[in-house]
Amino acid sequence: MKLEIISPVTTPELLSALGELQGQSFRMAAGCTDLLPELRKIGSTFPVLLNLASVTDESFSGILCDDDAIYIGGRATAHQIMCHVEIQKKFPVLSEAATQLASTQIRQVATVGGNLCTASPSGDISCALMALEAEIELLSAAGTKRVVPIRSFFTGVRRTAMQPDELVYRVILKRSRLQPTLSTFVKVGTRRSMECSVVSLSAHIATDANGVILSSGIAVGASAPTIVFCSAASDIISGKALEEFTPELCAKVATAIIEPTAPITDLRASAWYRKQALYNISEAVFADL
Amino acid sequence: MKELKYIGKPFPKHDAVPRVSGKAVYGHDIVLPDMLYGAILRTKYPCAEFEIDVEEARRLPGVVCIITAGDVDVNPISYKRDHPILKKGAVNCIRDEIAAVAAETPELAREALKHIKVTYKQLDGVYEPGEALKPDAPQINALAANKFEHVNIAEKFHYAHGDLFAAKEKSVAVVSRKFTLPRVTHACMATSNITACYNKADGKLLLYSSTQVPFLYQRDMAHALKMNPSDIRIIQPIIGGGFGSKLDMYPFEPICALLSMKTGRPVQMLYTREEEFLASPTRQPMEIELTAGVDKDGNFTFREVNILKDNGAYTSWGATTPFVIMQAFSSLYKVEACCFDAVAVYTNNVFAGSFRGYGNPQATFALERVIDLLADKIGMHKDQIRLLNANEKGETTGQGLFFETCGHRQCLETVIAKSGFAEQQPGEGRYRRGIGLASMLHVGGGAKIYRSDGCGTTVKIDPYGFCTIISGSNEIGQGSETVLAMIAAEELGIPLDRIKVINTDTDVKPWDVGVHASRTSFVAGNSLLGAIRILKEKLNKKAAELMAVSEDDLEYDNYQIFCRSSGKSIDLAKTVREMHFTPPNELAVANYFYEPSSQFQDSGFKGNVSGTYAFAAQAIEVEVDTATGNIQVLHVHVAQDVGKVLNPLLLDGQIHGGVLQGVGYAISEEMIFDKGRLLNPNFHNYKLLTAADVPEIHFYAVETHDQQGPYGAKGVAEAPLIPTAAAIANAVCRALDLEVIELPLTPERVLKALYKQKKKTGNASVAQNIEE
Repeated sequence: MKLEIISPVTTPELLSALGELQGQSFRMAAGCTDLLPELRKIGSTFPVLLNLASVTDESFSGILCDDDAIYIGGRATAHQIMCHVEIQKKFPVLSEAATQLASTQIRQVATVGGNLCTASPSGDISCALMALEAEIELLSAAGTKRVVPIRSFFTGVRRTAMQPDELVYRVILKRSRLQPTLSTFVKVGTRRSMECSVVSLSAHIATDANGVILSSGIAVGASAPTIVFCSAASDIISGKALEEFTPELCAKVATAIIEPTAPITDLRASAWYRKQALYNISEAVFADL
Repeated sequence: MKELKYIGKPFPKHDAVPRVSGKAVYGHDIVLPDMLYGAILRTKYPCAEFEIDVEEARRLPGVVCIITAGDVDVNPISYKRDHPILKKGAVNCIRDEIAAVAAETPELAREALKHIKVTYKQLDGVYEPGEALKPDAPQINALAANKFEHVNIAEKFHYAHGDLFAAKEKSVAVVSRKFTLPRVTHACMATSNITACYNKADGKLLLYSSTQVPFLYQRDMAHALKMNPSDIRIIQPIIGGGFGSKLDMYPFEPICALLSMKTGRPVQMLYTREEEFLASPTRQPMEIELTAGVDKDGNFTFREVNILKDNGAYTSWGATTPFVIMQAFSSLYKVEACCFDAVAVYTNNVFAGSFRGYGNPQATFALERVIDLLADKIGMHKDQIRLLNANEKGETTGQGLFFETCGHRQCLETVIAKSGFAEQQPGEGRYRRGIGLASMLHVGGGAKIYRSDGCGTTVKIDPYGFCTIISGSNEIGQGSETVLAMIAAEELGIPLDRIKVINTDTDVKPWDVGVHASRTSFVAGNSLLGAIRILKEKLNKKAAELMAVSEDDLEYDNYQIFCRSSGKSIDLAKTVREMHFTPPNELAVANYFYEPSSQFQDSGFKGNVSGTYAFAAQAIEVEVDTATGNIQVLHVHVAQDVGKVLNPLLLDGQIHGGVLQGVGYAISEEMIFDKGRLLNPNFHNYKLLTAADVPEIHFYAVETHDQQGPYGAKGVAEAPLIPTAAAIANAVCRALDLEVIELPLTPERVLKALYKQKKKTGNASVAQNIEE
């Protein structure tokens, strides 16, 4: 099938193209790092590609900050995220996830929006954003914006809460006055690059001055049809002081983390391995607290 | 001895600039006028009967030719001639070619494949060698020679030396294990390719082929196509990765030739990456059962080996890997008695081919694992037992291999000392470190398997003082052109930029058996030295005459021929011009054919099969994450007896590439099949390691100056990957105090082994077990 590629430059051009494509078969892409393997594997199942890579709108393509939040453009790349000093400081889990994504070359073009919209259970950036309880700002062809909490964003394997006339415009990370005590991304896989997570764990935990946990976000990837926010595990640790993390408590947290997962057996690992490795890394992460 | 100006110096590969600047012409870059593009239809099922209808596809615009088995008059190919080029009515493995198309564009060719109608009757198939050997198993390959006790045995090897019974009697400890080795692939960066150009006017066939063995290939192609070999001219474009994969000729090559012969137009066929995984060769998967003993002093007493190899549906050169495998068992470390049996069994799996190391990584893995277990059993240190039994200079092994030089002990001592092997203690906690040791023996001066293991060379000097080497050997990326140019520069006093190497055209170059068995520097180097010696006799005569000095007193340096005693000199180019243009008008050209001193083995596989032997040892430090089972390879200490370093830069390249290939074999690479179907034909799920996975590699060259080799050098190319998996497995076992019997050591396999061990020993240091 011949593929027509539309490459808008301004946001109004983008929205108008998006509007015109409604009712037709089309796809959006920026870095194309998920799309190209798909095209090679099954060929193009759609005649039109709306290319987001040329759009110059800084809110969409860059990372901006103010006192309230960090705003990551939907088209910002993994490389931009891993190099962003504020993200490194305030949200290490996200910085680490971006750093471990695929390879140096792919990180130059792979985008946040792509990672979210592909809605793969093994998406690394998505997993970190889940632990951070990010807000996804969607922009429609009509120019209206709506914000979806990430916990309601993924609705199934490769399915999201987005409408066909919407795109991921920005990801919003609310700033907290608290400095994270633990903010980390653990990726399990065989290779040190070009690896798709066999299982992954994101944790972002902040304490008060006395070492009591005030906020916590824990998410796991590649363990269920969507990335899972582990609320039971978060509930267990909320209000706990750091010195309370005995081996028994760590085991309890790890058990709570694997509880909502339902991993599959595939070429890359068995369900047993995914569960066991997730349990082990969870226990190890909290033992390090 | 004269100081060497070129040999031993780090000259970059002479083709480095064209390769990194995109100017190198690979097979994929060739475009000929009026060229068509070929594509192959492969079976949908690994074992089936089928009927085929190509009429609809034939009618598509742009489709010029479609062939099936019924359209061609050809001979079967492969080492045992048991492989039909195009399959007729029945298929035996998932690679099987059932039709081929030539069309005006690659896209049209692939589109045409979709319009070929095939009706299959699926059959069960046999995918386990053990199943194939059952009395009631169906005959898998209809062309099998049927020489053995079961129709599905493709090849058998038996070897023995020493008094096995007496050696067993003397053993105070015996270890017996069965090891399972995976199927891995070469993953060459350039996919398989060929461009065929048949001239209907003169009946000659020109092939641009990425073969490693052009003269054997020419003969095989001629046999397949029922042609005269000399009517086939093979030109080798730049080859993007060989590693043994291009030793056999595969069906796509004669198929492409047939399409060109039918159409009278050039036809090009390029594999996709998926096709490369599916339909290019692999290393042999096998089960190795090894029983070995040791006496009270720690001397190895005996080895009893039984190997079951999955031959796949057809028989490639890969079936002959026991030639090399038995050498490891009969001759690596001194051992009194050895009894070796190997059988290759037809199955409906894909067939393996030759792969760098040629069976030796599998053998070395089994042997070196068992040596660790024997050492544990008699309470001897793992390094001491190896040093005690190490091979020695002057030794003739039970198999008749003669070690004129031998760096085995020095290699072992070097890596033991450099790695801190003896001092290393297993740690506690989540991350555990271990150092493992393994060594290897491999042919280092060719291998006399074919009727000749020789190489021809023509060397000429032109009237401007430039030298052209026409070598029978070829370049597959290993750097042999650079080494040959360095040898000529050294001997003739001509700088490297005035030396050309011609080695790609069978119509031009003299015969050579091909690039394999780590032989090129050794055999082609000696051949070139022979040709230069003859050429110098001619040049010396003329130079002596011109300078009025003695012929015995001449040296070559800096474009000049010098007379040592008189201090006179003459320009080399002038000497050549005088040879050419004054009576008796002779060319400055010489030919030489070098045949190594090695012997053919007798029917019991005994004899000194190589001109010399290479030894190596590796000590590898790993860190295992007990939470995930992930292995991080930290340090690889490599000591290798290379005879003499010819070019340290190229040698480093061989070591680094080989080690990483070995690490992949050890921890990550595996082709996953389900009933004959390949499930991971892509780099996403076939875990070839990346630049980020490269460990610290510490290389120590051991020079033993073998008289047989050029400047004392031995073959180096295969050795660096051979002991790697064994050393890594030994390191992991030492770090975790467990046993492994299977490769690759994926995180899941390691974690499983840890939990199995926990169940047995109650090891408290790993976390609670999740129910399976």
